Amino acid sequence: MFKKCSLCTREWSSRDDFLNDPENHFEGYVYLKRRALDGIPVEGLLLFTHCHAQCGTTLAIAASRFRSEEGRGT
Amino acid sequence: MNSWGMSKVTTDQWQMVSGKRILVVEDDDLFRRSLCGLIHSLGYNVLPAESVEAALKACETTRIDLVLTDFQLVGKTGIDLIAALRRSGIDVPSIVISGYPAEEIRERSHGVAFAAYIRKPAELYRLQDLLPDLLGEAC
Repeated sequence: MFKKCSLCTREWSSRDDFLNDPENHFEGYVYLKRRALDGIPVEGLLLFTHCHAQCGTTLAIAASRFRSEEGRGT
Repeated sequence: MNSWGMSKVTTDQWQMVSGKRILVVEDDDLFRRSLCGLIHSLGYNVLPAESVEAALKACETTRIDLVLTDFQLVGKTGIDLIAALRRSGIDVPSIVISGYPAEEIRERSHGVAFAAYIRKPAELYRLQDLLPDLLGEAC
C-alpha cells in the first residue's frame, strides 16, 4: 500500500494510483523536521488535500517516495 | 539501545527538553511527526495526539500551555477540541492549521475563538514567531 487516508481510510495501492486520483489536490512542499530524534530520515514532505466529499484531510507523503528512477542517469 | 549507547526515542516520547508544552493534534501520522520535530527543535515540549479523543485523554494527566490542532480530524474538528478543552477548564492559546481558506475555517468555527490560523503548507513558517508570541515569550 502506498498511502492510507487517516480520516476516511481510503487506500491507494501505488504511487500512480495516488497521483491519478483527481480527488488528491497537491498543496505544496514543506520541510519541517530539523532534528531526526527518532531515527526518521530528515526530508521534505509533499502535502495533498483529499478532496473527497466525506473527507478533506491533509495527506503527507515523503518527497522521496515520488522519486523516479527515470532520468537519473547511470 | 543503538551503537552510540542511546535508547531509541519514539515520536510519542518527545515530551522532554524544557519549557512550555504544546499539544499537537494532527491525524496524518507522518505530518504529525514532522510538526512535532519542528516544534521540538524550536525548544518546546510536545504532546502529540492523532484525534480529539486522544488529545482530551492526554490532557487529563498532562498540563499544556498551547494547542496546535489540525481543523479536519477523524469524526470531529479542531474547533470541537478547543471547545471541549475549555469546557474542561483548559483555556490556553490555540492555533488552527488547515489547508482550507481562513474564511471557511472562521465560518465553520461557530463562534469558538482561537488565537491564530495557519494555512498548510505555505504559512507553517509563521510558527517560529507565533509560538513565542502566544506563550508570552516574545522579546
